[in-house]
Amino acid sequence: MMRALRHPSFLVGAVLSALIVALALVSLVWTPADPGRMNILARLRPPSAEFWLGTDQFGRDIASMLMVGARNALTVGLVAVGIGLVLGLALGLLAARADGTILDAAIMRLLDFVFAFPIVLSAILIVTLLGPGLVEAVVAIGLFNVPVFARLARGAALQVMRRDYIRAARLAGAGPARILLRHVVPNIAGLMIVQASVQFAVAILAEASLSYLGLGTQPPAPSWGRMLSDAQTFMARQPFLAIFPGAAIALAVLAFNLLGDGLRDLLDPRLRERGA
Amino acid sequence: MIIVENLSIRLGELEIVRGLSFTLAPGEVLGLVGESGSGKSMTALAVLGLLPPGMRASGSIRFEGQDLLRLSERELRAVRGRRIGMVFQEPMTALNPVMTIGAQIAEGVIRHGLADAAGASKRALRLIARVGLPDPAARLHAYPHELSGGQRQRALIALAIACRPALLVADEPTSALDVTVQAELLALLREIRDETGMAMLFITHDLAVVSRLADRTLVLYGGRAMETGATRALLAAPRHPYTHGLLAAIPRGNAHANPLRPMPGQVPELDRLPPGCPFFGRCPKGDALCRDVPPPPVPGASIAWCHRPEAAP
Amino acid sequence: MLRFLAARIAMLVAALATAALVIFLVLEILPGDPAAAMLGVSATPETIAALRAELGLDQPAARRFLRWLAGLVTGDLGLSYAYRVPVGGLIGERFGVTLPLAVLAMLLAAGIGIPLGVAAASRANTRLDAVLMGVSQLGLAIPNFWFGLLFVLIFSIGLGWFPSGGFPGWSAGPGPALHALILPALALALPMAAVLARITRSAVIEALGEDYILTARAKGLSRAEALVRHALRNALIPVVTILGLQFSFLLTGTVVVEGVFALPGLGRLLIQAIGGHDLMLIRSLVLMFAGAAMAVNALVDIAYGLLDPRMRPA
Repeated sequence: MMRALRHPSFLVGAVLSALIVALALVSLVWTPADPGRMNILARLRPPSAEFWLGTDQFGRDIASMLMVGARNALTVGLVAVGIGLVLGLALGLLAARADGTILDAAIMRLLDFVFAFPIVLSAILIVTLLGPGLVEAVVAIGLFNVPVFARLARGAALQVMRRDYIRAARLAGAGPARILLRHVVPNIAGLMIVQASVQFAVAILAEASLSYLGLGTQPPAPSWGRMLSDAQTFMARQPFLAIFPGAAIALAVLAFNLLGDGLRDLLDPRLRERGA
Repeated sequence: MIIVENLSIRLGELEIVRGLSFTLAPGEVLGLVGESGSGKSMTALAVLGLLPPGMRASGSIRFEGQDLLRLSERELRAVRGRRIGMVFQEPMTALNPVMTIGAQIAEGVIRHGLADAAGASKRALRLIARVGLPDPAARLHAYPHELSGGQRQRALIALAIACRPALLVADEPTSALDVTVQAELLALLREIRDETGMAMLFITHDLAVVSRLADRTLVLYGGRAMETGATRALLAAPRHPYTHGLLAAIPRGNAHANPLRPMPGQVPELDRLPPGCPFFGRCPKGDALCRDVPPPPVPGASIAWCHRPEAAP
Repeated sequence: MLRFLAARIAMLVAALATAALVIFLVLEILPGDPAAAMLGVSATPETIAALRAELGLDQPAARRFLRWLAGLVTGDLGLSYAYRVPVGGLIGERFGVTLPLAVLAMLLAAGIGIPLGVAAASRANTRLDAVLMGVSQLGLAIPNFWFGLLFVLIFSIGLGWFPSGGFPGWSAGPGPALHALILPALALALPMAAVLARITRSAVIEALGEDYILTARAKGLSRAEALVRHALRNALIPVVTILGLQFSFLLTGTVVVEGVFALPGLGRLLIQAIGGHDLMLIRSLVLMFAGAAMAVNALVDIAYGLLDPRMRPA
């Protein structure tokens, strides 16, 4: 624990992510102003005591929109990573159990194929199929995450399964499902958590891109990417419009990347021995 | 030709080598013997001025009229590879995997201005033939992964002697190889020594290897000299209990007549050494004097740093 | 080497064909009739049927798929529903924007990221290293379209040095065209450069710790020479892999950044095609993007063989 507090990436990442989560949670009960209320008389205002981060072209309070946007970004990250983690873990473990068989090869080739499709492209295909929307975008991002987790899970599970105590458990009569759940999953959990943090950042970035293109979150729901796309028209008159939502995205991505890096260092026993 | 005096190597508070002195004459082979952690490899790196970051050497290493420890990096570069060649331990990793054997041998020759690219390549071809690699013309353009371990070590020897150095430093060059290949390589090194008259600092943990190659031997333990002398005399009648123990651990001849006796205990951590003799604790003869007072060199058939040396037979 | 090349190209073709099939099937199960959608609510069943015949929609799916595949080779990709012009021509025209943009971004990313990574590695664990790695963390976190917006804000609106968008075409010579492409390319390149700098740094640090570096130093090479002549080439092997992976992100990025800078490229065409439900255009464009990513991955595999003799089949 003390080591964790001294690790700079982990510390900065943890504090920043906690801050964003806190803002998102607070937005459930309180925001500086109603993020949906338009006010023709207070359009495109710069930051002030009344509007902390200024207002948009409809006179909506940017600070409030960003807080609700944080909720949106975190939900997207949570669901997309959840889809990727659950499906990826299941497929990866299945492939590891079937190591060397046709099933293993089939699963891995299928995942290679999905992975070869750039994330926003697969999202575009899915959105073309189902129409634009937050749910569709999240599903697309989640599916893209599946191969990332599956490859990692398969590789790590194969390593764990070669260890002696797994052989011992098998000889003792433990079934394959029991071995996977009791012995393999706990051993690869750390690795998966680290990757989940990094993919969380990737998901936030991808949702921002899709919403910027108009394929993700639909109005009036506030989304950081969407706010940037609206800002483009008016940023010559009010530059702050383009600055705050972008900074919010960058901060969130930075937070979860640093958190993932820090966790990786803290969980990696090789680095621990070196006393880093 | 090389006179090392009072060489000490420190890593922070830790003294990896303390007060080591030895000399080497042209054409002579000195075997530097010790277990891992004895400081023998660091001594070799200190001679080339290639100690890892954080390590500092003091004392003096006089070579061809200059003190290597006081040379600038630029002056050292003129010595490295040109006047002193080095062969490393791991033939599998000491060659660059993405460069041909020929290019790696020729690189030093070109770097030291001894030949142009074409000339260096010709010289590389001759060297490859000299170290006994089959089909030299093909080996010139081969990559390291296409060679066996023994062949790579031959290539490394060719690389180290490419500029005809006056001194060859060899750090366990045969330890990673099997016994027959080892014997061939030792024979090759002896031949090259006889032809060129270069001196050799040969580092190993294996007294059997020393007995085949080295004129004189220096035994190291915990960064300090234990015993030194003519190899033949030293091996026939070791005076230091540590040398004795090393010798007893070598399998040879009739296993019944000379039962193999592994030395008890383990090499201690450098920061847990007693103020006296580093071998105290594993030594069967150690007493309070050994623990507290560093032993002086005791002359005899060999020189032993020991309070209780074996008497000459 | 030739057999390896042939095998890799065969694999690529198989992957492309599979991708084409998947894209075709996905779009095939899409509900709605494009002909009816194009003609609007007032269309009679007769005119819809006529348009369907004109577009070839009355043919069985298998035949339409094969025709599309053949078209991919010959360039005859059918008519765009929305533009009523051949898809092949439309794509060819936009290609002249997106390809230079992607290549320029790739060059900038490699030109910025790799030297910074080498600099950080050669001064590992110093203040310079810490600063470079901190900056690269920021580069990773900033989305390319926000870079784009900030550049427009600073260099176009603020300083007036660059156009804020649009593309003059290549007919006026490469000068104005490159001038219009430099900001979007930089916006695309910076996040990539951050990734490359980090990968290069760790690869070079790892290579510098190898035994062959000590061998090189023992030959009389300086630290810098050992780095350039021995470490760098070994370190480039993982860097090239990442460069290949990054290319697919780069393509995705062009879709977004072309939007920011109003560049008439393939990415914007794709977004417009989605807006207009222009299936003929969508399927060929998506295949092009996926195909480009796959082709670059094949190139990376081949580059491996050139960089690393161990990967070269005997």
